[in-house]
Amino acid sequence: MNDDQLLRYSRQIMLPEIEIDGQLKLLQSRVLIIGLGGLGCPIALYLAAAGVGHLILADDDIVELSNLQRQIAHGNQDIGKYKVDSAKASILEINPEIQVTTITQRFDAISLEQAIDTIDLVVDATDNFATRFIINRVCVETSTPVVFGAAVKLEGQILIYDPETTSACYQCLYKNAKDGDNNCAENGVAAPIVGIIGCCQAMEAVKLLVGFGASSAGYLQVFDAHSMQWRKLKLPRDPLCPTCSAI
Amino acid sequence: MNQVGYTIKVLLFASLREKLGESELYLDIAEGDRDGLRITDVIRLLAVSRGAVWDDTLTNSKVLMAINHTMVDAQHSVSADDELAFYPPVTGG
Repeated sequence: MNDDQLLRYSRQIMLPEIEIDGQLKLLQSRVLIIGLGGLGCPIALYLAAAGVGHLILADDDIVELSNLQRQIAHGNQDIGKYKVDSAKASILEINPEIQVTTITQRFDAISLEQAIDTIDLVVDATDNFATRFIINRVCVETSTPVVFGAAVKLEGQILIYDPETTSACYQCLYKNAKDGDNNCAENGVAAPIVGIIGCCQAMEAVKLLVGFGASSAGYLQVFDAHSMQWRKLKLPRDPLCPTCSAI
Repeated sequence: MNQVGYTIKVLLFASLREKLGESELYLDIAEGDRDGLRITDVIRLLAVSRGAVWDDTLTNSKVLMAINHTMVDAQHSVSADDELAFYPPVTGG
């Protein structure tokens, strides 16, 4: 690290859980963030500020006015642009030293498997079961850790798949659930709830990349903003899970 | 709140609480219902005492359930003094 980097990351390096070695791990990490909406914006901004060396941003969506209430990496001037381009510009304002790659295609299993080849960790910030099941299957098959997150209305959830443990996967939780009317466009979403869940996903990603803290793998973490209450629920692996039971 | 006898604590989280209007309740299980009691039976008993909307809301393959802080499915058994919690599915982002 050069002097500027030592100064930029000094408040993080002084943490005994991170120090120089942990910061170097972050700088050498490649993280794929899928979805640059409400969750993906704070995830991308915080991982960039924390010094994750290479962020790969994937989203095929365009910034719209109704996104700006909660998708904080995008501004008025970005309406009509790809979300990944808008987010990249915001990231480089905060930290011009990291590398940012953008992908404007919607992943299927084949394209995700190709993209994931050199990735250390995936952060799911999508908004539907179908894409999350694809991410889950590819990451289980390639032994890639994933931090899943979801938020709507005043509630959110986080689930971590860590191939270093025997933790359950996303399909152990939601089986074969089909997408219905659970998204933000149908139900509404309070602006800070995606910040709360997205920031917690970024924190879990930093912990996994550096390698400190109590693992949350194998637990579903549930948050309710009405009561400002978190619950951490044990999620056993499903012995009949079509995705992870054979691993 | 009656915790005498064979009682189950039922918790409803987030939007399920908003829809059903209760966050926490204690359900007394009659002697004839105790043998082989499963979560599906508890939902049926809740619907009998509180209205069909409870069955309509909780009998949904996407609703998440936990007994004593461990995720389980609707066929899981329920015992006296268990805490049975229901959580809504969340997919937005």
